[in-house]
Amino acid sequence: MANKVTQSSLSLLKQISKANSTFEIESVGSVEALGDGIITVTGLDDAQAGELIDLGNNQSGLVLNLNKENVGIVAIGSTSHLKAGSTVKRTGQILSVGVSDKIVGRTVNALGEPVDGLGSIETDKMMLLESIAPGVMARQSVSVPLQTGVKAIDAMIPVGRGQRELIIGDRQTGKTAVALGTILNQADQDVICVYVCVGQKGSSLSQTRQILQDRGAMDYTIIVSATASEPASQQFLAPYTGVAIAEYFLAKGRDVLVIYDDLSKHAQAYREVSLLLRRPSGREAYPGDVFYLHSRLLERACRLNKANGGGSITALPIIETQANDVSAYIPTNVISITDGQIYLEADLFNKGMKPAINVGLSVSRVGSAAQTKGMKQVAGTMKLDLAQFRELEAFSQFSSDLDDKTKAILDRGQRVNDVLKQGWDTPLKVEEQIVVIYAAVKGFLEQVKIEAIQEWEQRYLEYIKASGKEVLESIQKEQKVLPETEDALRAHITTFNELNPDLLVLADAE
Amino acid sequence: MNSIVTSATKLSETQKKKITSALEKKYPEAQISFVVDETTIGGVKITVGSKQIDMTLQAQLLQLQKTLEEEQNGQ
Repeated sequence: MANKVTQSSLSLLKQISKANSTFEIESVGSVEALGDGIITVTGLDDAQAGELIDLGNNQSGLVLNLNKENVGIVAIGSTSHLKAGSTVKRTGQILSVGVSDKIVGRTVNALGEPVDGLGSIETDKMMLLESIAPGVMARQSVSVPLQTGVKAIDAMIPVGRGQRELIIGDRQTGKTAVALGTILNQADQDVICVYVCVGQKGSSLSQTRQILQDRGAMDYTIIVSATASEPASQQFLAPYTGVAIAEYFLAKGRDVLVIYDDLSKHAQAYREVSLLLRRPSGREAYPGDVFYLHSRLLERACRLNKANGGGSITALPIIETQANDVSAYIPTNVISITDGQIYLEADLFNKGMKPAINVGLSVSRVGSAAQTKGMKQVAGTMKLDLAQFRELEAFSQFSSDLDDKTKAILDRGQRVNDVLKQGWDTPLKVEEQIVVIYAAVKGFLEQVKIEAIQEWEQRYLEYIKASGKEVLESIQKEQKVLPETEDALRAHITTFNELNPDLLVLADAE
Repeated sequence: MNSIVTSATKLSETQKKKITSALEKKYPEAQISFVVDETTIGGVKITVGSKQIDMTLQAQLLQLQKTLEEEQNGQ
């Protein structure tokens, strides 16, 4: 007993001896005014923009405004202990977040502190929140696909590793669902996922986390949480925290996927801070540097070349529009920064088209370079089929008499369209997508009842997995559809259709 | 330049003189005022403009607290 006491007091002594007992000249200021998370301080003559300020009581603030007479600081945590005349100190540090491999699977706030109640996280490196994006010479063009598992995206709007692809749409159109489906699909892809939640409801985030946990996706995912109840300063910082964590894994040559959900709320948080700091406001009351706010964030998405480790950061920012207005300020900004957008529409969603992707308005500017050959082989004519279908669809509503050719295009289009429907939580492997899309574009679905297409797909995939394994394996191995594989696949589809007459139109006619 | 010397107990005249002469060497135009603040427990804190050197017992105890907390979190 006595031994134990001496031992613990010895270790305490050791810890105390580590305490710094020298005196240093510090730079201090005194609080002139504070309110709404903004602190105006006199003194702090030599403070630098972006520097951390020690507010006492273990709280800190960030210098955003430097004036001749005073300094504008935004509080990151609570300010309840401060009053006019309180002393605050410079720290000489720039905002950074401690990261290690142990952070995977955890939920942290904008400062990198755990908020999931699973204890503290050991850190081995401090990553700067605001760092300069990799330069031109360190980069390489996008060449490896990032499989989202969503047929409509992987076939027609392919995303490559290192790309920035915007997900844009009204509220309740399935934006987060597309992003979450993408995370679920990374299970065996050796990709670290960072989900940054900005200004979302705490209930939605906890639901999201539960889903990721139940599906085993937290094994490779980190959540950065700045829900609507957090101060605007933390909501403003959270995306930078997310990308700083991503850069830790990038430096190790890993592929990382970062989802910013969503940047509209991020811009609003920054607008709040800027207006309170009395910065001049511009269009929609956003400050002048709101474009730079997002461009410097998304520019940190990259694909590095071999000499720099060869890792990548893929960014999937989300923007919520109001009443389909993509020409509002923030949507146009982010559309112009990113390498393409996935456009989700409420009308399509209500018609039962899920995911509600408007294929005509969605583009991917660099991803097609990264698409696998097999997918290119089957998806090539798909966009055309759909474009023709949509053009004729509107037209055909006026006349009941259609010639056979138009009818054939409409039939084909309808089926290709229906085959793109997919539950958000059922991502498909590339080879599975290829065999389904092959059947649709080669006309094998023409005899299938339109209302039975979903069921056809489900049963067909089960069938192929059971008796056509070699086809899937060959596509996966070769990354393309070889002629002999194609013949085998054709035979399989024909046999399957013969085995399942209840799904076919012909069965009705007889 | 506004200078404040804070201590827990009232300083004696000789102590004040020593501090004043030392400060005036570095900051000739310093206007020095002496304040008593019991919460500092012991030692002195000198503030000149926006520069401060805190040699009070209170500051040292806070520093110790911080170090111990960091040690705890590190383990």
